[in-house]
Formats: sequence, C-alpha cells, structure tokens
Amino acid sequence: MAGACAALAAREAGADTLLVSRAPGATAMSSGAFDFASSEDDAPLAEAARRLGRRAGHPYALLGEDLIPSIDAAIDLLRRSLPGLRLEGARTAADRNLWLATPLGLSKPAALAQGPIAAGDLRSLSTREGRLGVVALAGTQVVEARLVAKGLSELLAPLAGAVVVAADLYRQRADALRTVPEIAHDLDRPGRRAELIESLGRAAAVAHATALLLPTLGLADPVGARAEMERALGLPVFEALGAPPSVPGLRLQRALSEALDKAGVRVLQGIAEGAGDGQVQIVRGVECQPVRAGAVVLASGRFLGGGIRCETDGRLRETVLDLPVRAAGRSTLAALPNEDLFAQRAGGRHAGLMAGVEADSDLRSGSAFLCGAVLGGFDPAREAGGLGVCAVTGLVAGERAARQAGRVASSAEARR
Amino acid sequence: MRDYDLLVIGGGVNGTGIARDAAMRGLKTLLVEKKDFAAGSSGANSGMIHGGIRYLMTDPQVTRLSCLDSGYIQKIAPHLLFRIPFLYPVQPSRPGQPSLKDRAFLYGADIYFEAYDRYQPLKNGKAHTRLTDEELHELEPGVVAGTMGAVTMDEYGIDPFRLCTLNARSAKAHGADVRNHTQVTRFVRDGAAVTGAELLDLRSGKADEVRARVVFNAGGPWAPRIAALAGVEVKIRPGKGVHVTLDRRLSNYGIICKAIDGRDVFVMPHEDSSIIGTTDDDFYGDPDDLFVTQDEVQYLLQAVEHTFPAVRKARVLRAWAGIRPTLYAYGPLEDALSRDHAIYDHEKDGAPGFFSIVGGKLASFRAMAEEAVDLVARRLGNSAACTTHRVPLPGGEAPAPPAETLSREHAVTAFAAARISYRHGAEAEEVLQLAEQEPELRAMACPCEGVAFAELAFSLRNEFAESLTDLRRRCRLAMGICQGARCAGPAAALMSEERLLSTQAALAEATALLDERWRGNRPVLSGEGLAQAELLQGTYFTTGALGSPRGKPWR
Repeated sequence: MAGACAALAAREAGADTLLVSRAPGATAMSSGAFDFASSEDDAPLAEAARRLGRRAGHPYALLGEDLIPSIDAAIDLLRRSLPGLRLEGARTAADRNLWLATPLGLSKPAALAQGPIAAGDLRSLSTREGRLGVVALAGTQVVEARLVAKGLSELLAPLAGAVVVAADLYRQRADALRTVPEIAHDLDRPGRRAELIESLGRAAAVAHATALLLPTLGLADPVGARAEMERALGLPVFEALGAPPSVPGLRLQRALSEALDKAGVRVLQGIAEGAGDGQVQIVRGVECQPVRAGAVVLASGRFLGGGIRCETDGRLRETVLDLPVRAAGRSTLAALPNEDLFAQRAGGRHAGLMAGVEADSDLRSGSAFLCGAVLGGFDPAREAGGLGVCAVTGLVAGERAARQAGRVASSAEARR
Repeated sequence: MRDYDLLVIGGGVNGTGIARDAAMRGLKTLLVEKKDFAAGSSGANSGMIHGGIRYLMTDPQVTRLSCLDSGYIQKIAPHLLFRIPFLYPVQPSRPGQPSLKDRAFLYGADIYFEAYDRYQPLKNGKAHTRLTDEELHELEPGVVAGTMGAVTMDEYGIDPFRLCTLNARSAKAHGADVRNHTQVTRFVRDGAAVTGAELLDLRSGKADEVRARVVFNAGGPWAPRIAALAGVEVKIRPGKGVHVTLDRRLSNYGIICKAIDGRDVFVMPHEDSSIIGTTDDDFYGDPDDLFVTQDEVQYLLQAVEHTFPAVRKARVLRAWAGIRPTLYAYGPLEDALSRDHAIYDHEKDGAPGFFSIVGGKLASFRAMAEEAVDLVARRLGNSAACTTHRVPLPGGEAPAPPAETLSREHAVTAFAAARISYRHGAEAEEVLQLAEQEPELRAMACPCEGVAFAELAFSLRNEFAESLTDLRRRCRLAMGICQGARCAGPAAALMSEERLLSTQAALAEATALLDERWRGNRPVLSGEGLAQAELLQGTYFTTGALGSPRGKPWR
C-alpha cells in the first residue's frame, strides 16, 4: 500500500517512477478496509488522527501541519486510483469512520472500505429494523457464522438482529474443506453466481433475513456480483471483511497493480538492495541491475513485508539499505524477558512489533524517503491506523521524493 | 457430601495413573486437578517413554523400571507411541585430531550402550550399533563433519497430554469421578486423620466437600503445597527443564549433542516438529509462574548447532518450561539427582489417611501408580490385582485404522486422517463419524495440525475439555507453525456452540488460547517468528478487533 501510494503520488507529481516489488506483502493479507485513525468516542478522522499524531514516534507526528491535508489527499488518491473497488466511506478527514463487522462478530472502524464491504456499515444497519443474515457457504464458515451472528445481534440491537443463513450451494462432503479464497475463485466461474443466488434465495427465505452478509462475493467482480444478487434477491447484500488469506486483500493488491500500470509506473519484480554508491540495485535471479534514481522511497514493510528483519542474535536490520532500526529505542530484541518490547499477553502493546527506521520530519533517513510499516512507531492492532497510515505516508513520501528527483534532474540539466 | 474410597489430587501422569488403577480395582475414586490433565510437569517434559539410559550407572533400578513399563505402555496405547532411533555422534575435542581420551570415550560409550542393550527387549527396542563417521552421515547428512562415528539406541516418543487424558477417561469408564479445574482448598479432618477435602470448582466458583478414606497427593511440583495444607512436609528439589520447539522435523532421528558445559542435550522429531531439550536447573520460584529466558533458549540452540549446524535454519516456534519434582537431596548437581520416586504414608507425620508420591519419570508412571495403589488397596482391604498393564487405554483396543482408509471414507485430507488416527487410535472412526452426522464438523479447525472440528467436538463431549487450552492439550490445537493464528477464532466459535457460551465468553476463550501460545513465543521471537506474530496480530487484533472496547462506539 505504502509503495503503491508513493509511486502513484510521485507519478502524479510528474516523476518517472519505477516500483521494485519483491512479492505481495501485508497489503495482500489486509481485510479490505482502510483504517486511518479512530477513537473510542467515535471522533471524526481528523481529530482521531491528531490524537495519534501526539504520540511520540508515530508517523503522523512527523507530518505536523501536513497531517490532515495529507489524509484528505490520500483518501482522494485511493478513491481516484482504485475505481474498480468502488471505495465508500469518508470523503475527507472531517468525516467519521464506518463500523464494519469483523470475522469474530465484533466491530472495526475504517475510514474507507471496498464498496460491498462498506455497505454493511453497522452504524447504518443498527438504525433500522431488520434481520441480517450471516451467510455460511462451506468450510469453517458454517461454524463461525453462528458466532458472528451472535455478536452482530448484540451490536445491532434493539432494532435489528442477525441470524445464520446456511446456503446449500456446496453440498459435497469434500466441500467442507474449501477455504474462502477457494470459494471466491469458484464463484468467479461462469454460472456459479446464478446458482449461488438460487441457493441464497431459498436459505434467506427460511431464515427470514432482510439483508445478507456473505463471506465473499468472488475475487474478480464483487461490485457486479453484489448488484446482480441484490436485483435477483430483492435484498441488500454485503461482503464481509477478510482475514488472511483475505480475498479483499488479494483484490486490493490486484487493483493497486492495475492502478500503477494505468498511471504509467514501471513495476519490476525483484529484490532491491543497496549499492555501494548510495543508490540501489535490483537483484533478479542471478542478474543484478543498478538503478540511477533522483530519489529513493523505501516502502518495504516491517517483518511481514520483509523490510525489517530480526537476526537470530536479536539484531534488528533494515533489509534494503541497512538503515538503523529501533524498537523502543533499542537496536536488538535480545535478552528477554523484556516487557518493554513484548507485553505478557498477546493482546498487549508490543513495542517490538512496532520496530522501524526512525525518520526525520521530511520522512527521510539518510538519502531515502520512508513510508509505511518500515517507519515503525505505529500499532495497527491497537490504534486502528494501519493501511491508512501506509497510504498517507506513502503519498507524502512519494510527493517529496518527486520534488527531490525534480531538483536533481534540474541541477543535472543545469550542469550540462 | 459424597463418599469415596480414594481421593487423588493432581491430574498429571501419576495422578491419572493412580486414579485409573484404583478405579479398575473397584475402589470408589475421585480425581481432582486444579488446572487440566497434564497442564503441569506431565505436559512439559520431552514427550518420551524412554528407558533412562542416563541413570544406568547411578539408578539402574530406574532404568529397569522405565524399560519394563515402556513395554507395557506400548501394549496398552500402541497408537500413541512412536519409535525414535537415536544417534549419539562422538566429536573429537579438537576437530580432525582425535586424542587418546576421545577414543577412550567412544569405546566407553560403546560399552555403556551395550549394557543398556540388556534392557531393550523389555521395551521392544533394538540393540545399539556402532557407526563409522561415513555410516553416520549416510543416515543423517546434517550431522557436522569429522566425527569419530556414533552409537545408536532405540527410544519411544509419546503425546503426554493424551496419555494423561486417556488415563482419566479410563478411570471414569471404570467408575471414577473425574474433575479438572477443581482445587483442593482445605482438608477435612477427623481428629488427626485426613478424611476428605473441600473442593472449589474454579470455573463455576462453587465449593463442595467430599469424604474419602484415603487421600493421595500426586501434585508433582505442587505436592509440597498440598502436603502443607494437610500440615505435613514433603520435600522435593524442584528442577526447571526448558525445551524448545522447532517448526519442522530436522531429522527422522533423535540426535544427542553436547552442550557448552558438557551436558547431553537432544534434538528429536516429535509429530511434525522437532523438540530440543533440556536444561536442568534448581528452581526456587512459583511453579504457577514459569517463564523461559532467552539465555536458556540460546544454550539449547548452541548445543544442537555444535553437532547439527542446520538447526539455525529452522524457525523456533516456542520455548516452554516445566518443573521436575525430583527427590530432595542436598549436594549433588541437578543432573546427578536421582530420578527415582518415593511414596510417603503420612501417618507417621501425624496425618493418617494421607499419602504423597514424588519423583519418578513419565516412562514408569504406570508402575509407580501400581505401587501406590497396592499400598492404598492394602490399607482399604482391597485385594484386587492390578490390570493396568493389560487393559488397553481408550483407542488402544485395536489397531488404528489406516489413514488412507479414513481419508477416503470420511473425505478429510490424508494429513488430517493420519493425525487423527495417531491421536485416537481405534476411536478415530468414532471421531470422524461425528462429521457424517454433522457435516460442518468435517471442516478443518486447525489446518496446521490436521484438527477437524469433529475432533474438537469429540474432545469437548468425551474428554473433560472445558476450554480451548484444554483442547490444545488433547488435539494439538494451535500447536503448529501458526501458533493459533488460523484456529483460535474458528475453535472459539465451536466452543461457543458446544458449551452455549456468550460471544464475550467465547472470545475470552480465544484470547486465553492466544495468550497461552504467546507466552511460549515471546522468548524466541526473531526471524520469521516476528512475521508470524505480526500476521497473528493483524488477524485477531486489527481485522478481528479482538480486545477492542465492546459495545457500539458509534453512539
């Protein structure tokens, strides 16, 4: 997300942009929602983001006065660049979050979400009478749907409730082993959508559901699938957030690739690493290709993305340019037990998992601009600011890198 | 108030073994455990029914008893044991330059293992073999080059959690009452005699009182505390043992390695992982609050790396610790302490009717239980003979159905069928029949360990499982490479159905399971382990919103 936003922003600023990508990372596993910031009192995005920006070390703290305009710009960039996803939710930082049903039957705040997901905003559903059908297609969903329905009933009460809608599309014994991505691929096959609609019609009638929340609407065209289902069933249809391996995450990754292509960003599959001259080189198999760039943006992610690695001796390492990495002010994660780094409980705040490269107010460390999770200092799990933080910092880093590249190009021109 | 012949306190291998034996002899028995079966030392050992070759010099009776009982355990739970051929490579003290002392050591090792061969027939083990360096590397190329050769020996692995659960189930099948998550808060006395106990159900908060003609303290490292409740002293020398679990089977052999201080440390295959163990250090803390330090982990990894360098390429999944309730002795180093057991009749301490058992080994639990129940039976005038060495444990009655057959007939993956077949033996068919009756139970709750919902449901209905962490012990839920990232939510959903839990209670179960796993992950977080931790955080706490404030924030 950060790398794509940086590349798109740089391209829009006129820079000739090359994106080096090793492999899909955390974005491809994300839920389908874009979380910029939230607060327990449901404050508007801008207010929630300012509160995060007051936390030392948080990337929002580096943006200063640029924070809110950058959020506005990031929302706009995402909406413009990913038209196929029909993103819905906030239009500016003055808006409030959507509240979306999670795979555990709880609610999660997000500023933006893919259209069919955003339509299931619990804030809106809870204001009118209704019976949300949590659809179970196959596999573990059949068991999980009951927990989700129970949780959503509590959240939608007193006007609305939730029930399980067990579709009978997958009736073979081996269907029980299907995962959500496998079902999504299956639903993309010709004719399967119509069969699903038929099955849902029967099941929704039995459960007296007035709206349906599906685990997936397929990978390829959820917007079209939703429209077709709503027409045929006469019911509102929503798609659930995805847990890894997440269909909305895979879809987002695909949409970003298309956006980059459309914007004219060149994308190279390979491993970026530092070259001796402060530049980078791209390693692909046995080939090594040096890159001359007016500016370099590092958007390589944290542990999951591979941008930060902790060696077996506990030393933290930034994997591309070997920039200094810190977690809670330390450069190693060794010598545990250390509650400064990892809380005793899984749900605690783990400074060790917020490791990253420290950047200046220009989002720079050394000669590189930084964005996204490689920056560290933020905790998507407890701050409801994950993908959104990556988008905002990506946009800012991309714009600033483009400016620097422009200056470099101008001075080179002048020297000639 | 209920009356029993025997109240057994402690659901480890000794407690469950005693309860089973007593129930099979017709004694009216109650087994209580404050946590869960094998939640303490019995679940924190190496998972081996080994013959105790280490004790051959100092405690040959321990070696003999362990080997003899290992043979019996193979007969009563054949599905649960798996053979582990061990290699003991001998490295020269200076690479490439074996000294006279080194040669003498190898010669000595050969003779020592030959002495152990005498006990191997008791446990269906093969006699040792001496291997050249070349032969060793043909068997296991991962061993460091330039050894002087190796010596082999045969041992057996086991799932200690299931062993304890099956003992408890067998006790119940023979008439015992079984209560886990139940703590003894006070003993009932009739004069000096211990005649019962006040029990507190830790899940419901309800207390009750039971009477028993004999009370047996099988609390392992908690035995001194339980004894203190009865006003008597039981002394042990608690020893902390740390193990490390790797994400893969490094080798199909167990390999004995030398640690930096000369101690023997092993790495061995266990299910689809490897276990490295163990440390042995005097422990002065609270057995309810064990943690592992990174030093302990590095000590074990270094030891294996010395002989098997590729260990550093494996991902360390977790580290875990247990406390050995070793017999008390002042003076010897921890490793030199006897692994023998002792049974105390506290009548001489002024508490007639109260007994304790401490020490011993997993491998000889059945024989120790037999000895303990012999004593109780004599006291109670029961003359029935012990039959625990002949009567199979649940699932051991017949050969386990082949995994291929289970997979084909029940439409589960071959991997899941193999794991279910191992864990449940002859009962595997019954487990998977649940999926025929309730089709949604065929789905995989824990793909890493091949745990179907049907298995979880079977365990919840038949094996005293009251929480997800209980299911973890019985079915290996969340014990695979993702450490709960994929299964905690789905399993909580099933738990909610089976136990009619509220959303909040079901998610508290998921949280407890993730916390338990995290406790073992924390000391080893590095490399890909941190990526896995980040993914788990994303799944449950970012996308799932677990732990976020409840209610409707939008109001």
